[in-house]
Amino acid sequence: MNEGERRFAVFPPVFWRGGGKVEQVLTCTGLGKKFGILPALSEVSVNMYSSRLVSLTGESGSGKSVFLRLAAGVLRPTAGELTVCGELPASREAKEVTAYLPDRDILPPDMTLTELVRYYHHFCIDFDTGLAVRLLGDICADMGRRFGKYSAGMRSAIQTILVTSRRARLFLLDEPTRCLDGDGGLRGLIIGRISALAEEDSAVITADNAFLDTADDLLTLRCGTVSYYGSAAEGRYPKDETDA
Amino acid sequence: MKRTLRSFLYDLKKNCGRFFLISAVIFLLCTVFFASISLIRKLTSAELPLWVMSGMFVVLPYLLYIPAFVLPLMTFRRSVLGRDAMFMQSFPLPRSAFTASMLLNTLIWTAVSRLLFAALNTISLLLSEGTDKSALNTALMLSFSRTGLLLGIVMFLYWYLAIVFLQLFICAVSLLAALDPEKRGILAAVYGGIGGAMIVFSYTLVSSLTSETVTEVGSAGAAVLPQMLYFLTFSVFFGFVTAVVMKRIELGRLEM
Repeated sequence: MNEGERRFAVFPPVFWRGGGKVEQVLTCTGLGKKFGILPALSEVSVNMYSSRLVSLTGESGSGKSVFLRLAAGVLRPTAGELTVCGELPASREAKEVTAYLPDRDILPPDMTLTELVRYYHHFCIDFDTGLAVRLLGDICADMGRRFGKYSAGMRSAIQTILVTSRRARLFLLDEPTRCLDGDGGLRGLIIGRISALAEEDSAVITADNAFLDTADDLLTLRCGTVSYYGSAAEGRYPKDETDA
Repeated sequence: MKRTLRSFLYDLKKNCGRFFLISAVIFLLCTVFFASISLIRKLTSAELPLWVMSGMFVVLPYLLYIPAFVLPLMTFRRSVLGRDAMFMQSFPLPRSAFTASMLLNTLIWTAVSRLLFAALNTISLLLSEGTDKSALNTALMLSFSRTGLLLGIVMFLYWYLAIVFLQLFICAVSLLAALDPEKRGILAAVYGGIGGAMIVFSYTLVSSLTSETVTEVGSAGAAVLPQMLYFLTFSVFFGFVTAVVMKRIELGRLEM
């Protein structure tokens, strides 16, 4: 465990965005994941807190997506422990408080946006329907159009909006701006929305270079192990190592 | 419980259109076929072999059970292992909700299929040569008598258990194979082959041990009870395997 990890393991961050109580949302100790004999993650021990935006960085294949999938409960660890608000990630209790955005389209292409919003409204108690409809209106999405009929960028934005319209305690976002071009418009709206999540007392972990400048904390993975975890302002972040 | 019920209602609504479309096509095809055979026999006095006639008029209506078997199974597979899995399982739904939704949907669609089956049988009776109005009236009266209704309920339960038994067998085999995504195809073939052979052998054994000649309407219901018990026992077993294995599936590995 490096100095950054040790500091966060014992002392929660003093400065936080939201106005609420700082709570430990994600805890992992000695976390490891192997696929066959190949280790994807090993000895990852980090604690994450509410009202913090954590940027997860590292080269391709360093284990960023694997870490997010373990936290979301779609993969099971082969070593160590991982809990979300004290519950196992795959449990229903953890899913009640976790919102996960994978790095690909997951919404059924044959459902309209109205149907999707209704689905989220019925199955997620913490889903803010008004906010979702407003944000979808801001990106000029037609609520009666099927999800599969949109462009790649719009699909990515719609998916991100639906996931981030939940009032979850933990957001796990894998490359939310991957198909969004340019600095303004759609990309700016999505970046702004995600940045605002931490101010709403949620813990946000995002594997996306777009948040390097605005993140509170930095978690850098290298070959499946933690190379740095600490304050982004103090963080060592060699530009030649990044490929999130 | 509320979300499980919602999940069932969503699946029901999703499959409604497809179910009625497929059933309507099968129903119309069978009706046209029966009508054609009757017309050909009336016009040409040609006689088809008895086994062909019996086979066509008896077997074809059972095709109506196909949508009741296939649609809930496909929805389950899509929600647990297929393209909608990551979406469906990102919601705080208990994993048992998917199995429960499949079983409830099968119940509804089997009941509708049973009604369509009865309607098609009535049509085939009407179109069969040699069936006069009094014989048809007798058949209808028997169907709506107390014994007939009881037999109808027993046969509905028989078909429901048979369909659920097959569905849960396929679910168990698919989920067991998905535990090792790289060898999924081979494992599915192996588990399916071994399981299928065991089922065929045990079913044949049970049928041969409990077979009896049915001479009265009332006995028809009793004759299928051993098979219903067989289906129920194995459905519970496969359901247990499905529930246990579903907890161990790593969704993230299926996509890698």
